[in-house]
Amino acid sequence: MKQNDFAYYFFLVIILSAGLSLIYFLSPNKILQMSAAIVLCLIYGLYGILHHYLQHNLVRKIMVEYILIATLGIAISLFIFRGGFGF
Amino acid sequence: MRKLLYSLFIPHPTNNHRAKILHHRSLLVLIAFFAFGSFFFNSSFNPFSGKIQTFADISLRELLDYTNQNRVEQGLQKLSDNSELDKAAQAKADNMFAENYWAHNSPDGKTPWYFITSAGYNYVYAGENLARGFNSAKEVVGAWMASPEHRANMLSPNYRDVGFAVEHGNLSGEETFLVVQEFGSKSIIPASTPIVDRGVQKVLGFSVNPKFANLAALSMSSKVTLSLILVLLATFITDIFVIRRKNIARVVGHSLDHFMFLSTIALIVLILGLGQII
Repeated sequence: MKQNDFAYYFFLVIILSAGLSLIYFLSPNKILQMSAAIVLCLIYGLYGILHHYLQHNLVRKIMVEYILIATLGIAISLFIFRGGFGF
Repeated sequence: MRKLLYSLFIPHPTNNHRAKILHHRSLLVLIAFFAFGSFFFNSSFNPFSGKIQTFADISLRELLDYTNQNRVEQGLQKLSDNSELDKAAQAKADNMFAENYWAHNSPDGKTPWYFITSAGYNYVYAGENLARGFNSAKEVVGAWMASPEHRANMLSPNYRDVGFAVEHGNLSGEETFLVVQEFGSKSIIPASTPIVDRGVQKVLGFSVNPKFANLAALSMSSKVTLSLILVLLATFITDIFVIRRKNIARVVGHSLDHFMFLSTIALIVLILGLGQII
């Protein structure tokens, strides 16, 4: 693993752990938990895109991939937050 | 079929060295699935209104049915719905919202037994289970059954009657549903006799770690979501190993990032899907 990649993954672990801890400790206030989950997904998407930009290998395909994965995270969180299918 | 599964989950030349389930179109389908689930199955809910969980579907009848179903499975007598215990449960729920607390005893010292006796129920055995943040009666009863202390209440042979209340309100700034379950057996001794002389058994449902006591009570939606995430995680892991082994160069994002992110989302699903019981 290159040093840049190590720093990238190190901070990614920090971001994800911090977001997860925040969501856990905001319990049972689900509005704040949901807001934190959405912000965490947005940060993930932006962080991934920024990393590839700084690595000079950002292309549209990669950007769309991070946007889709982050959107999937938001969609899943919203789905659970709203009670899923109701069963 | 084998080819289809291979193409869906294993990177190789026919899927451009990227499992098809990770292609943009597949991700869009998954996003559409969850978006459709959230916005069409609970269409009365406005996510920006600040009122959450108003879609919870917890009926008193279902709470009684699921409770008795568990008792019958253990060879125990069914509990009868008692109007006085219903009244006690309602008074307890109202009091929790009025005095803004989430506990068996109120800040000014009112115990569950106060509400039960005030409702006119002259008990010899009594118990109380509380829950909040659940979306269905099945989840609530499942969480209680998964916690040893609450389960002991649910399956106690000492009880004959039960009462429930489900109340929606604002607790510490959060819109939530509270579920109160009061158990009891009536005494033939007059209510004027001091309780301490009657050899009463009073049980409170209290779990050492209530946040994790109800994992088994996750809704079907949460379980389906977690299963889909696990499939994606397994596919990303396969992708990482296959591509590394074959040393193939591709223009895609880092699979390890997505693996870490989706693992976090799985944990968020667990946290968001859990209610609380005491």
